Amino acid sequence: MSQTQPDRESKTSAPPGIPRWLKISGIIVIVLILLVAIIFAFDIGGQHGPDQFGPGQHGPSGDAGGETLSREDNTQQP
Amino acid sequence: MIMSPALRKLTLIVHLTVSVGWIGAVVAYLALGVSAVTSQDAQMVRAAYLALELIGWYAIVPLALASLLTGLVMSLGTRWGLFRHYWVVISFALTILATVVLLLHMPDVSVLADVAQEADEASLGGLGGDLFHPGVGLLVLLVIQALNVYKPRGLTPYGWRKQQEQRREPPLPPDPG
Repeated sequence: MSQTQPDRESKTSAPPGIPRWLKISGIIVIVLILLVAIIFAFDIGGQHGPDQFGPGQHGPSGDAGGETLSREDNTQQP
Repeated sequence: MIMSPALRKLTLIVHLTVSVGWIGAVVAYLALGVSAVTSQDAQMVRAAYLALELIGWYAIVPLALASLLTGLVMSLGTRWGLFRHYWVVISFALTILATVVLLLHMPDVSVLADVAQEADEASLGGLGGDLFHPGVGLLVLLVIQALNVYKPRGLTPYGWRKQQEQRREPPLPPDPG
Protein backbone atom coordinates (compact mmCIF):
# COMPACT_ATOMS: atom_id res chain seq x y z
CA MET A 1 0.00 0.00 0.00
CA SER A 2 2.65 2.49 0.97
CA GLN A 3 6.04 3.30 -0.41
CA THR A 4 9.02 5.30 0.66
CA GLN A 5 10.73 5.75 -2.69
CA PRO A 6 9.03 7.42 -5.64
CA ASP A 7 10.16 5.15 -8.51
CA ARG A 8 9.37 1.67 -7.26
CA GLU A 9 6.19 1.03 -9.16
CA SER A 10 4.63 0.39 -12.56
CA LYS A 11 7.16 -1.79 -14.29
CA THR A 12 4.56 -2.71 -16.95
CA SER A 13 4.57 -1.25 -20.45
CA ALA A 14 0.91 -0.20 -20.34
CA PRO A 15 -0.09 3.09 -18.71
CA PRO A 16 -1.56 2.50 -15.25
CA GLY A 17 -5.24 3.02 -14.54
CA ILE A 18 -6.74 4.91 -11.62
CA PRO A 19 -5.79 3.10 -8.39
CA ARG A 20 -8.50 1.43 -6.33
CA TRP A 21 -7.92 3.61 -3.25
CA LEU A 22 -8.59 6.69 -5.35
CA LYS A 23 -11.81 5.27 -6.83
CA ILE A 24 -13.15 4.38 -3.38
CA SER A 25 -12.17 7.78 -1.98
CA GLY A 26 -13.82 9.49 -4.95
CA ILE A 27 -17.09 7.66 -4.34
CA ILE A 28 -17.00 8.62 -0.64
CA VAL A 29 -16.32 12.27 -1.51
CA ILE A 30 -19.16 12.36 -4.06
CA VAL A 31 -21.57 10.92 -1.50
CA LEU A 32 -20.46 13.50 1.09
CA ILE A 33 -20.84 16.36 -1.40
CA LEU A 34 -24.35 15.17 -2.25
CA LEU A 35 -25.22 15.02 1.45
CA VAL A 36 -23.95 18.56 2.03
CA ALA A 37 -25.83 19.75 -1.08
CA ILE A 38 -29.04 18.20 0.27
CA ILE A 39 -28.47 19.82 3.67
CA PHE A 40 -28.05 23.25 2.09
CA ALA A 41 -30.82 22.76 -0.48
CA PHE A 42 -33.36 22.00 2.24
CA ASP A 43 -31.84 24.58 4.60
CA ILE A 44 -31.28 21.97 7.30
CA GLY A 45 -28.13 23.71 8.55
CA GLY A 46 -29.80 27.09 8.96
CA GLN A 47 -28.59 30.41 7.59
CA HIS A 48 -25.01 30.40 6.36
CA GLY A 49 -22.40 33.03 5.49
CA PRO A 50 -21.74 36.61 6.54
CA ASP A 51 -25.39 37.62 6.15
CA GLN A 52 -26.21 35.74 9.32
CA PHE A 53 -24.48 38.55 11.24
CA GLY A 54 -26.16 41.26 9.19
CA PRO A 55 -28.64 43.95 10.16
CA GLY A 56 -31.46 42.86 12.34
CA GLN A 57 -29.93 39.50 13.09
CA HIS A 58 -28.13 40.19 16.31
CA GLY A 59 -29.87 43.00 18.10
CA PRO A 60 -33.07 42.59 20.06
CA SER A 61 -34.30 45.93 18.70
CA GLY A 62 -33.38 44.92 15.13
CA ASP A 63 -31.24 48.02 14.48
CA ALA A 64 -28.40 47.75 11.99
CA GLY A 65 -25.54 48.08 14.41
CA GLY A 66 -27.12 46.27 17.30
CA GLU A 67 -27.18 47.79 20.72
CA THR A 68 -23.73 49.15 21.37
CA LEU A 69 -22.72 48.62 24.92
CA SER A 70 -20.74 51.07 26.94
CA ARG A 71 -17.60 49.94 28.76
CA GLU A 72 -19.56 49.81 31.99
CA ASP A 73 -22.21 47.61 30.40
CA ASN A 74 -19.55 45.20 29.18
CA THR A 75 -18.10 44.74 32.63
CA GLN A 76 -19.73 41.91 34.43
CA GLN A 77 -20.68 42.46 38.01
CA PRO A 78 -19.44 39.81 40.40
CA MET B 1 15.56 20.76 -9.90
CA ILE B 2 16.30 18.10 -7.30
CA MET B 3 17.37 19.48 -3.93
CA SER B 4 20.51 18.36 -2.17
CA PRO B 5 19.90 15.96 0.76
CA ALA B 6 20.73 18.65 3.34
CA LEU B 7 18.37 21.20 1.77
CA ARG B 8 15.69 18.54 1.37
CA LYS B 9 15.86 17.67 5.07
CA LEU B 10 15.72 21.33 6.07
CA THR B 11 12.68 21.91 3.85
CA LEU B 12 11.07 18.73 5.19
CA ILE B 13 11.54 19.91 8.80
CA VAL B 14 9.92 23.25 8.00
CA HIS B 15 7.10 21.58 6.06
CA LEU B 16 6.35 19.10 8.84
CA THR B 17 6.48 21.81 11.50
CA VAL B 18 4.08 24.19 9.78
CA SER B 19 1.74 21.41 8.60
CA VAL B 20 1.38 19.79 12.02
CA GLY B 21 1.23 23.29 13.54
CA TRP B 22 -1.71 24.06 11.22
CA ILE B 23 -3.57 21.02 12.56
CA GLY B 24 -2.77 22.02 16.15
CA ALA B 25 -3.94 25.58 15.57
CA VAL B 26 -7.24 24.32 14.13
CA VAL B 27 -7.73 22.10 17.18
CA ALA B 28 -7.15 25.15 19.42
CA TYR B 29 -9.60 27.12 17.24
CA LEU B 30 -12.20 24.38 17.66
CA ALA B 31 -11.72 24.39 21.45
CA LEU B 32 -12.34 28.15 21.49
CA GLY B 33 -15.28 27.71 19.12
CA VAL B 34 -16.90 25.17 21.43
CA SER B 35 -16.32 27.53 24.36
CA ALA B 36 -17.95 30.40 22.43
CA VAL B 37 -21.04 28.30 21.83
CA THR B 38 -21.39 26.56 25.18
CA SER B 39 -20.17 29.04 27.78
CA GLN B 40 -22.76 30.86 29.90
CA ASP B 41 -20.31 33.61 30.79
CA ALA B 42 -20.76 36.60 28.43
CA GLN B 43 -17.20 37.81 28.97
CA MET B 44 -15.88 34.36 28.13
CA VAL B 45 -17.99 34.23 24.96
CA ARG B 46 -16.77 37.66 23.82
CA ALA B 47 -13.17 36.72 24.58
CA ALA B 48 -13.56 33.43 22.71
CA TYR B 49 -14.86 35.16 19.56
CA LEU B 50 -12.03 37.69 19.74
CA ALA B 51 -9.51 34.86 20.16
CA LEU B 52 -11.01 33.03 17.17
CA GLU B 53 -10.25 36.03 15.00
CA LEU B 54 -6.71 36.37 16.35
CA ILE B 55 -5.81 32.70 16.14
CA GLY B 56 -7.32 32.56 12.65
CA TRP B 57 -5.46 35.49 11.14
CA TYR B 58 -2.18 35.23 13.04
CA ALA B 59 -1.72 31.46 13.42
CA ILE B 60 -3.87 29.43 11.04
CA VAL B 61 -3.56 31.60 7.92
CA PRO B 62 0.27 31.95 8.08
CA LEU B 63 0.66 28.24 8.85
CA ALA B 64 -1.64 27.30 5.96
CA LEU B 65 0.25 29.48 3.48
CA ALA B 66 3.61 28.19 4.75
CA SER B 67 2.40 24.60 4.50
CA LEU B 68 1.21 25.14 0.93
CA LEU B 69 4.47 26.81 -0.09
CA THR B 70 6.79 24.28 1.56
CA GLY B 71 4.70 21.41 0.19
CA LEU B 72 5.12 22.85 -3.29
CA VAL B 73 8.88 23.16 -2.79
CA MET B 74 9.09 19.62 -1.40
CA SER B 75 7.27 18.09 -4.35
CA LEU B 76 9.04 20.06 -7.05
CA GLY B 77 12.44 19.71 -5.37
CA THR B 78 12.34 15.93 -5.03
CA ARG B 79 11.78 13.02 -7.40
CA TRP B 80 8.19 12.70 -6.21
CA GLY B 81 7.20 15.63 -8.43
CA LEU B 82 3.91 17.49 -8.25
CA PHE B 83 1.85 15.62 -10.85
CA ARG B 84 3.54 12.21 -11.00
CA HIS B 85 1.73 10.44 -8.15
CA TYR B 86 -1.96 10.56 -7.36
CA TRP B 87 -1.38 10.98 -3.62
CA VAL B 88 0.75 14.10 -4.23
CA VAL B 89 -1.84 15.58 -6.60
CA ILE B 90 -4.70 14.91 -4.17
CA SER B 91 -2.71 16.28 -1.21
CA PHE B 92 -1.85 19.43 -3.13
CA ALA B 93 -5.44 19.93 -4.33
CA LEU B 94 -6.84 19.45 -0.81
CA THR B 95 -4.26 21.87 0.63
CA ILE B 96 -5.19 24.51 -1.95
CA LEU B 97 -8.90 23.93 -1.26
CA ALA B 98 -8.42 24.21 2.52
CA THR B 99 -6.34 27.38 2.15
CA VAL B 100 -8.78 29.07 -0.24
CA VAL B 101 -11.80 28.24 1.95
CA LEU B 102 -9.86 29.51 4.99
CA LEU B 103 -9.01 32.82 3.29
CA LEU B 104 -12.61 33.26 2.13
CA HIS B 105 -13.99 32.39 5.57
CA MET B 106 -11.73 34.55 7.76
CA PRO B 107 -13.49 37.86 6.92
CA ASP B 108 -16.70 36.25 8.25
CA VAL B 109 -14.85 35.40 11.47
CA SER B 110 -13.75 39.04 11.78
CA VAL B 111 -17.37 40.17 11.36
CA LEU B 112 -18.43 37.62 13.97
CA ALA B 113 -15.79 38.89 16.41
CA ASP B 114 -16.85 42.51 15.85
CA VAL B 115 -20.52 41.67 16.40
CA ALA B 116 -19.70 39.68 19.55
CA GLN B 117 -17.84 42.65 21.02
CA GLU B 118 -20.91 44.86 20.66
CA ALA B 119 -23.74 42.41 21.20
CA ASP B 120 -25.57 42.32 24.50
CA GLU B 121 -25.73 39.21 26.60
CA ALA B 122 -29.07 38.07 25.19
CA SER B 123 -27.93 38.16 21.56
CA LEU B 124 -24.53 36.56 22.15
CA GLY B 125 -26.11 33.12 22.21
CA GLY B 126 -27.68 33.70 18.80
CA LEU B 127 -24.41 34.23 16.98
CA GLY B 128 -24.24 30.59 16.06
CA GLY B 129 -20.53 30.05 16.63
CA ASP B 130 -18.05 28.77 14.10
CA LEU B 131 -17.65 25.01 14.28
CA PHE B 132 -18.59 23.77 10.80
CA HIS B 133 -15.66 25.22 8.86
CA PRO B 134 -12.90 24.27 11.34
CA GLY B 135 -14.48 20.84 11.86
CA VAL B 136 -14.52 19.99 8.15
CA GLY B 137 -11.13 21.69 7.75
CA LEU B 138 -9.62 19.48 10.44
CA LEU B 139 -10.96 16.37 8.68
CA VAL B 140 -9.40 17.51 5.40
CA LEU B 141 -6.06 18.18 7.11
CA LEU B 142 -6.09 14.72 8.68
CA VAL B 143 -6.78 13.16 5.28
CA ILE B 144 -3.82 15.09 3.84
CA GLN B 145 -1.63 13.95 6.71
CA ALA B 146 -2.65 10.30 6.20
CA LEU B 147 -1.91 10.56 2.47
CA ASN B 148 1.52 12.02 3.21
CA VAL B 149 2.37 9.23 5.66
CA TYR B 150 0.97 6.23 3.73
CA LYS B 151 1.88 7.52 0.27
CA PRO B 152 -0.50 5.08 -1.48
CA ARG B 153 0.67 3.71 -4.81
CA GLY B 154 -0.55 5.06 -8.12
CA LEU B 155 1.24 6.84 -10.94
CA THR B 156 -0.59 9.43 -12.98
CA PRO B 157 -0.37 9.07 -16.79
CA TYR B 158 2.11 11.96 -16.73
CA GLY B 159 4.18 10.26 -14.02
CA TRP B 160 4.13 7.01 -15.97
CA ARG B 161 5.38 8.75 -19.14
CA LYS B 162 8.16 10.44 -17.19
CA GLN B 163 9.15 7.12 -15.67
CA GLN B 164 9.28 5.49 -19.10
CA GLU B 165 11.40 8.35 -20.43
CA GLN B 166 13.87 7.99 -17.59
CA ARG B 167 14.17 4.25 -18.22
CA ARG B 168 14.91 4.85 -21.89
CA GLU B 169 17.69 7.31 -21.10
CA PRO B 170 21.18 5.75 -21.29
CA PRO B 171 22.79 5.25 -17.90
CA LEU B 172 25.29 7.83 -16.78
CA PRO B 173 28.97 6.94 -17.33
CA PRO B 174 30.76 5.75 -14.22
CA ASP B 175 32.29 8.38 -12.03
CA PRO B 176 35.97 8.68 -13.02
CA GLY B 177 36.94 9.18 -9.40
